[in-house]
Amino acid sequence: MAVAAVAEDGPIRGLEAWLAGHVIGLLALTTAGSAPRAAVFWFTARQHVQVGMEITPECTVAFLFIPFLLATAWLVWLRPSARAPLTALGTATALLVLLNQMRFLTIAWLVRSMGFSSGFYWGHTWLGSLITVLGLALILGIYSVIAIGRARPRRRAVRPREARGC
Amino acid sequence: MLAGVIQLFLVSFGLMYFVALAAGGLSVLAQSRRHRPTGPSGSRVPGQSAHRITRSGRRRKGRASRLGGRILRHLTTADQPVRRLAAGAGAYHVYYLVPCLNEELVIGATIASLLADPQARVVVVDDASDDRTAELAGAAGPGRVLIVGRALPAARKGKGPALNAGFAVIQADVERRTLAPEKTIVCVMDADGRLSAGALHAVLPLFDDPEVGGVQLAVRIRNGADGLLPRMQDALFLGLSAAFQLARVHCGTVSLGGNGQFTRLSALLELERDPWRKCLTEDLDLSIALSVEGWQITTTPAAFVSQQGVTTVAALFHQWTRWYQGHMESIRWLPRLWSSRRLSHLGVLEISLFLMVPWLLVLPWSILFHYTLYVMIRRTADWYTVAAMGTDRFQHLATLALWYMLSFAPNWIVGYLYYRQDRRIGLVRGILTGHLLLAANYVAYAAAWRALYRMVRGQRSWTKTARNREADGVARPAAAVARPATSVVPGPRVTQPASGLRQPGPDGLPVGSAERELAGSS
Repeated sequence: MAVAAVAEDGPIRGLEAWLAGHVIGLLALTTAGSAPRAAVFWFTARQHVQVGMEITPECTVAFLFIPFLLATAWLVWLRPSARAPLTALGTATALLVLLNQMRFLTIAWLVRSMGFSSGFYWGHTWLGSLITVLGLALILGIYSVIAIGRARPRRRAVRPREARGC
Repeated sequence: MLAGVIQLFLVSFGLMYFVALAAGGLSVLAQSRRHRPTGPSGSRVPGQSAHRITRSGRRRKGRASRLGGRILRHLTTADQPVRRLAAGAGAYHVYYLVPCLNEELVIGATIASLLADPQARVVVVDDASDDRTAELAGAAGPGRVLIVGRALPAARKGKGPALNAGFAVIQADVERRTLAPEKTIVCVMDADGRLSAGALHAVLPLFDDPEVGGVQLAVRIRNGADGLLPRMQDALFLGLSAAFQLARVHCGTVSLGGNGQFTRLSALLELERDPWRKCLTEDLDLSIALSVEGWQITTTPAAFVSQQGVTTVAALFHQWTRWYQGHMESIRWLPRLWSSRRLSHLGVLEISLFLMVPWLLVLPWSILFHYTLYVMIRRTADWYTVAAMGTDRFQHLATLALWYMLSFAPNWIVGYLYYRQDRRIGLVRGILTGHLLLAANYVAYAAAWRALYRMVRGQRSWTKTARNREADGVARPAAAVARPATSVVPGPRVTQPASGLRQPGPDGLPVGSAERELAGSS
């Protein structure tokens, strides 16, 4: 899967672009859309001005996904139960996608409010980097906490027996 | 692109680890301050602080209905937790165990300070010193000090075996006095170690919890005012190590150190092996061994142990190389950690992350940090042509500020934690001292790489830190001196048994202690 994520990141980027088109359209309250085959999403910055953005290999979550995949493979091999590591992987993947969408949304918001040049700088370079680093740190923490959870036998509540007379 | 992904993960991992431990440490500090008893005038009562810091799982037991409380309780519980019975009422008996190798400049004052406790017994292991260590130690406390003499060629093999030799004497004395192992505490002290006032009052109540097998005190550098290097070490010990140790209270996985290390005798006996093994960091090895057996190890913000800091970069480099090598070699514990069902889930995670710090953080970061620094300098040099730096001067400065903020966040955190634990330092000075750690990073990088090199080469010799006399009669730090593991110094060893303790065997060692090589303190 890790090799596939590296070699075939196009579909993942396309999926992210498609998702970004919908998320921005919904939350940035503007017209937005996407061209998944080109891994491009677009939105209306101001009247008659549409901005399109390509999700490059540096911007996709495809590569961020790989370390989690490798860590999960190691944990599944090491631990008696695969449930917790796989749950952690699923959660981390969902959160990574969410994190990247939040970054795209931030760029869209700032480009709409500050203009392309400043908005792109603050949204992409500055806040975008901060969101990625802090978000990834948070996801690593959440992944770790879920991954170490071990399956334990559930304790049944013991019902006290009624005293019976002879 | 690969470098970018690795860099992003390293920064995020480091940030997550730093922030989590810093937050945990601060929460324990806050808890301690809230419960700190005060005197009649509202002043703090020395040595009577709120030393009993509870672990998260217990503290939140009453709030278990909350989701966060449930998760924390689950994380701080083991699959098969060990339930140990309380030892019952009665005072604790403390044995101080002090391994020595050429410590004549400091041993007298150390023993005198330990014997300030009228109940204390001190076992000094003289590891074939060339100087008057044994003589001075015996003179410092006649009657309550036992000198365990070790002779070459069996001596000078490392600190672990020396401690084990002293431990055998303690075991014999405990049997003779019919003391309960659960109520007997063994405290390992370095020859230059000094406990803070009221330290025992802060430490011993922690052992009332029958699951606590060890307590490690925070370490402070006594000569911190002597220059930047000792000050930096003090900041590292207090702002970084001690604060993070406080966070580990939540998991019960505080790491034992070589100085101010308190352990319950019954916990050591349960290991069914020599407590301190022949390795470079026998203290870390013991911590993990106890954790794997389900013992809790904790600490307290109410006491500390002070020691001398080294005053030359070369000595610091040698000292850290040994620590890094021992730390890196401890990675072999991972499979046992992950298969232990007595260790809590959070404990497994914490110790694993701790063991992986040199491998995942220090070594890779030493390269990637300089790569990003190079990129930043290149971009700054021609920032008018690089779009990633922004389009105007303000944006250029903002980009640099962002880089500084992310790169130096650990320095700010450590500086703040340093200040929080000793407010006399002041916030600004604390933060500035935190930035001194940038220099410490370079010593750490070099030490970690040298440790790796030594591991590859199979080199395991060690370096002992020598001491000098201090102006006030205590000791002053000196440079580390390299000592070959196989050095032979001829001459008879003197064994000086103290009254009240079991007589050693005819060769100066307790009967039955077959393993009697090495010794020497760090």
